[in-house]
Amino acid sequence: MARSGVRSRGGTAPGSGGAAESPIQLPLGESYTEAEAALRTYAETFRRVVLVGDKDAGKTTLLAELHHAFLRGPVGKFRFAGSWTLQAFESICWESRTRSGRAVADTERTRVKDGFKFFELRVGRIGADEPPLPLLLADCSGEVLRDARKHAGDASILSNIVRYSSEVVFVLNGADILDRQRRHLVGALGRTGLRALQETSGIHERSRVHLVVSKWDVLHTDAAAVSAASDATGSLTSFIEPYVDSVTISQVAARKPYGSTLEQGYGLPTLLDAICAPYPAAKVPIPDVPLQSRVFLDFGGFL
Amino acid sequence: MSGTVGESFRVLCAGLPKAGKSTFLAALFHVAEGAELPCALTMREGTLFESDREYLQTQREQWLQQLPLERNKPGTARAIVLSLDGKYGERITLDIPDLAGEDFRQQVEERTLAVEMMGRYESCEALLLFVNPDYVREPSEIAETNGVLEAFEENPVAGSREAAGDVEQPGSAPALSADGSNGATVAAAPEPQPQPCTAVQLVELLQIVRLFARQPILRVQLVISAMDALDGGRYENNAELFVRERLSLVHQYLEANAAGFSFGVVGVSAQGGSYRSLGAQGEVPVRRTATERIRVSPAGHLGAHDITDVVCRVFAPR
Repeated sequence: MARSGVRSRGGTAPGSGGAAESPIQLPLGESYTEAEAALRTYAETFRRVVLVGDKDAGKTTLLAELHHAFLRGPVGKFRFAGSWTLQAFESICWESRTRSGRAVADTERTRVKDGFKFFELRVGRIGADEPPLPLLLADCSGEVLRDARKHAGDASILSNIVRYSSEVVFVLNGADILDRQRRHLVGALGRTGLRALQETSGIHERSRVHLVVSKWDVLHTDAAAVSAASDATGSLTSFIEPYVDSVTISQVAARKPYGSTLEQGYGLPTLLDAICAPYPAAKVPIPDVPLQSRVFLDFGGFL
Repeated sequence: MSGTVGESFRVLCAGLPKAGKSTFLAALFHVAEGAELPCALTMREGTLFESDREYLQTQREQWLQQLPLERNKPGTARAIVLSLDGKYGERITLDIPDLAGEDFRQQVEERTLAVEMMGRYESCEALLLFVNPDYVREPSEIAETNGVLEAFEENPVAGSREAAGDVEQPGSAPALSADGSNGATVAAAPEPQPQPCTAVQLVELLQIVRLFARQPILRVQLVISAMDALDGGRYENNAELFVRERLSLVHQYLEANAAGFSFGVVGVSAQGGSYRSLGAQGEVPVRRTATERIRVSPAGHLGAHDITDVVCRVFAPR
């Protein structure tokens, strides 16, 4: 288990001893700042995931429900394997539970001043004899994407985070797709957002883009909205696919859908499976080696 | 049991307040020392006074009379050493201090760890992690927390106390206003704060122990105490199912980290019922020995009353 890079509230660092009467400060359990996340990734290799989307798209709710889903049991093929940001998960869960679905919906969003919040989550594949996979999940405020569409400088700021994330979860607001007036905005803004990231090298040939339609519980019974969602994701896929490693599409209903036939956390297992999919084996060109070595390699089954 | 001749084990009894740690230790002492019924481990001759027995004997007497046990104060670890002989010639020494649940709660909620406790974590070889099903805080659902929020908006002081769940918090001081007085003139009631559910708290505790423990693979026995509280429901005599369903996060965490933990689950009713129901003398069932009050599930080789078998399971090969 990693001991370094976990934030503590000043005082004695874990494991460093210190005066007998002064207690050791334990990791706070809060989300990491950019600097803390950098320290964590320096100490340990994480699979980096960034959640990008417009304001109110449901990025934070998605994270909250992922935590809540693990509280209920394994999520698809994965079981919970640890986190040093559990307090942060509990906080966003609390916000999501208390604010979502109220008369005045006001989910505690990731605000501009917060920039990026980083969450740590380890998951273990059920039945696989392999160590848990550590995920570093970056939640960025919707305003960051809005600004990135307008200014190259802001796009570069966002790209600096996205560039180092192999998994880019692009969240499209399902409620906007349901709204006939805003429906076409979703695809257009999504395309410009992805283009801004691509043109500033945030998204590149090694990126795996996951298009996620959120709030599926409110639109899955409306045939026109489902069709619009399909059109939007199809169009975005056609646009971004040539520039990236792969594109997946999923629909999620993070909240408990009242009156809906969908199960709670609908779509999360599919999304998590896509995020945690193993990287394809690198295509290594066969070097021009002497015959003897080729025989050896062949014997070993490498050729 | 894998204990070898003369081996000494450091076992830590961990758990949040009111988890049943002290009751378990009192019953363990009684069974191992009294040997009323056949049991897997018995106290070695000549070791009755190998360490201070005042605390343990007092707790045992309370337990025998079915009275609530004295609760440990934070920071006061009661040293308990038990030298035990197994049925097959094993000779083991358990160094099993009785620690206050408040100490564990502080680690999880206040994020501080006493240096002395860190030393215990470093040297511990096995962990008995106690959970009392009566005090398991479930993850709250949206509707439930909305209710708390509405109560807070109607009556901020009462609402926030309800949200914090601190009605029975031991040692909690009444809210003070800005001028230091308490009472009706509270300046600004705080927003309801999230209270981590029990599963999150236990995972945090396990992560902290794992962070410091030197043992490459830490043996953990999850002890569902007061399991008589589960009688009549789907979890009756099925502590494993209880953990899988009600503390799923803990179960997932331990299963996913097989490289750092080996674990098992056992249900124990050391008291034989809740103190409330036992308080009514008419309801106390007549038993031949006090040991018969104990129930271990699944039962050990020597029957369901042998609480020493819980210790054996910690070291059993998995």
